[in-house]
Amino acid sequence: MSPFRPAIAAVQAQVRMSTRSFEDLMPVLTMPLFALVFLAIFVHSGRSDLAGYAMVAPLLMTVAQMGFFVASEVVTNDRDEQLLELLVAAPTPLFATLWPRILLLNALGLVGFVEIWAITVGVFGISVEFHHPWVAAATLVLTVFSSAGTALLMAALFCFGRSARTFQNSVTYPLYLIAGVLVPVQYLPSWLQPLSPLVFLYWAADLLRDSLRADEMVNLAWRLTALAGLGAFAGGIGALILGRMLDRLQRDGALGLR
Amino acid sequence: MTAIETVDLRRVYETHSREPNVVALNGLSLSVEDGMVQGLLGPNGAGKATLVKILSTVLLPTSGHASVLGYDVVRQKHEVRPRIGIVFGGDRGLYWRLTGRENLEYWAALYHVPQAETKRRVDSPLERVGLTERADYRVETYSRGMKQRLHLARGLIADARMLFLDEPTTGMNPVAAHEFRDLILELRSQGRTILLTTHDMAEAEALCDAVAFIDRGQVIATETPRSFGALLRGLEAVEFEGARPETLEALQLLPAVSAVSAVSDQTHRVEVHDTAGVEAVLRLLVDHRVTSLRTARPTLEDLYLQLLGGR
Amino acid sequence: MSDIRVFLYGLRVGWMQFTGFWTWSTWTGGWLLRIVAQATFFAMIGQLLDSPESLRYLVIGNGVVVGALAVNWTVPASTWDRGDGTYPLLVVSPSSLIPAVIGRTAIWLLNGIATSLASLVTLAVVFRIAVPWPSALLIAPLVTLICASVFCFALRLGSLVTRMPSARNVVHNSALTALMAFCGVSVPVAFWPGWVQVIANCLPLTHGLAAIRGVFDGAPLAMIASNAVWSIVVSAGWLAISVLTMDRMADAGRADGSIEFVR
Repeated sequence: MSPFRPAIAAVQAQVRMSTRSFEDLMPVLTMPLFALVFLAIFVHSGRSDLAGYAMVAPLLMTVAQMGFFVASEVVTNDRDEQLLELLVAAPTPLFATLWPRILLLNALGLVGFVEIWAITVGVFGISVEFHHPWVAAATLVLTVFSSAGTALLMAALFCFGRSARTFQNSVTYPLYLIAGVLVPVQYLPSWLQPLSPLVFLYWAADLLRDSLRADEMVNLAWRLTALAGLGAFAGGIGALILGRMLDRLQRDGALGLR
Repeated sequence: MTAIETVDLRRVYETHSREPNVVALNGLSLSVEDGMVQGLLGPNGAGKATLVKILSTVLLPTSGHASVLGYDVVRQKHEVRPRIGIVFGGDRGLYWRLTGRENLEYWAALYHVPQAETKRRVDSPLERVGLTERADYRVETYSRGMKQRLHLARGLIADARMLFLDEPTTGMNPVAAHEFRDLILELRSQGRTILLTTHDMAEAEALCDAVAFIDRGQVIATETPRSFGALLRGLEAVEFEGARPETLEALQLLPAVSAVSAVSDQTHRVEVHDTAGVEAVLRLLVDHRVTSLRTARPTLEDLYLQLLGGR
Repeated sequence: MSDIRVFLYGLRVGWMQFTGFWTWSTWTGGWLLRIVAQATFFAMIGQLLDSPESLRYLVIGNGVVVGALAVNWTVPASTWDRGDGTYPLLVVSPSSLIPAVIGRTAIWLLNGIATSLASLVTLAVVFRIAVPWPSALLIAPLVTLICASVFCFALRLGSLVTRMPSARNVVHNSALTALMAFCGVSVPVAFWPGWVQVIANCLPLTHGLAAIRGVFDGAPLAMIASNAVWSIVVSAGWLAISVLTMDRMADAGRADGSIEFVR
């Protein structure tokens, strides 16, 4: 049997489940609508040249929301549905199916680009060109990876209980602000700016905005590495914590309880 | 070969509060031979589900030793897992947004069923549990009994030698429960080892090669169905209404009667030693023109009192 | 009298649920921090545009709309009786569904008022927006009016999503984005085509926000009062629709079986 079969089956199952649920798709349906707000502000102010910013920000927010609110819930949802026990008792290691599901859910965030593009072109009649399309594509792939790593870390933290949920509800906009997802970080107070490079969205937003410009890309390899590295770091910590947490839940007999 | 062995198995749930810890298993020792259907009979909270979860590697024991098919469930869990099928049952434990078939296909992949064999290994259990017609409907539309049958189908996906069935007929209608019994007998004829937990005594008697009675985390007795049946028959009773004092006196004098008690203002219960005693009691009651009467099957409580009294 | 009792018990259920999730420290350090961050996120567009007028416009608009965001939680909250399994029991009880639902969700109205006032004060300080005095005394009542207006609107949406609970968060978020886009939060209502303006004038935030902008801009009291009155009219309209249709939505749920769905 192919070693990838469980992962492929997990992705297939997750695609089926997510496309049959408004809940899972909620960020993909609603976050892109912010393009309407951003573009209206820019057009009203006579700054249609910033339309690219109005596309980048909601796209990154959509991917991030899929990570923060959907992908990060996979473990706790399975636990609530008394599936975690069965998954742990199966011959396939849990991570072999968990990681592909989380990755898939974050990747679904990219579908939001269709709605964003439709708003930009269809509602405002603005055409935006990515002068470095391969850079943009690579950035988006690594953003999905990093968002998934962050989601894995959050999934691990949620096993600790309800207090982690407060974090989930509170973390989004502070991160978007610090990362400069819409307004570049040079407009932030100087004391906040050192925090920005610690957030994967900072590198993603910066790279995507630069890929809109005709100028040559600077320090590309380093920036892509930083984007991927933050995700790998978060995912690594998340995997470690989750593994320890599952062991503890098994010892305490709480795999099936909430 | 010994398929299941536990030695002094303990499982304690710490409450992390002033409440005392919960001792779910209290030095449970059990041995199950290969190819047997082993029943675990006991009331709620006896430790049956806890034992099944430890043996299926879901839960870690606090102390003691347990092995399945020769593999230690703690240190060799990766050897145990591919060799067992698990049926926990209940309303949950299924992906409700997937269809029945999609659920099974997913679990087939997790149990390393080759792609080429998946269709057969999914269709066959579905047909066996009578879900073929509903296989392509989402689980959220299933009744309780259908979910239970799908749990059973899921447990058969791996075609495992060892099956753990935790109260598998809960929620099933009598027809489905009867078909389930046929399925278990079929699986036994294939040489599989089955550990079946239940609080249905008739089910235990009909299906099991041996029945272990569990109470408060320990095995208090192990019986074959024959001796189990004899125990049950020894606990039969007759209940009737409209007794006159002379009827009650006459009953007390019957040698087969062990006790006569009032269940309510109108109803009395006569406990007898054996089936012949039931005949004698019924004949006497008819002679005394008592027409409202019935035989009462022993309850689990009756059985336990008998067993605990015997210890 | 029994409706008042039901309302008060519903209020208690809502309060217990709210305080089960938020404590004072998590509400201020978590919720409020996120809210102020959100308002700042949008307001900073004014800095990107290098336009003090835009900055002021966005600060005021977003300081108010975050209150609407909090109140709009009434939409998903209207379905929580489903998750608790109590919705069918409420429907078949002798009391009307309306005071129970309004009671249970009223906590979000209170949360919205507190959220909006705290945000406006914080943003005004951070971005150094001058607050005229003594007309600033009108801000709190106007914020209360706006939040009440959004609450009435959210009740209507909430009763709609009880027929389809799985769509609650999509409706909740989409409605909020619509308010942000069309009601004068981010750009003037006049920016949009005529038919959008007509719809915007029927939405709960538009007139109340115009009144608050009037306060900040030192507009005549008559203009502020006129917008406040229109806000009351719109609120009354949405409340009337909610009240008139809530029981009908429940009946429709009984007819098509959706009343049984928990998810």
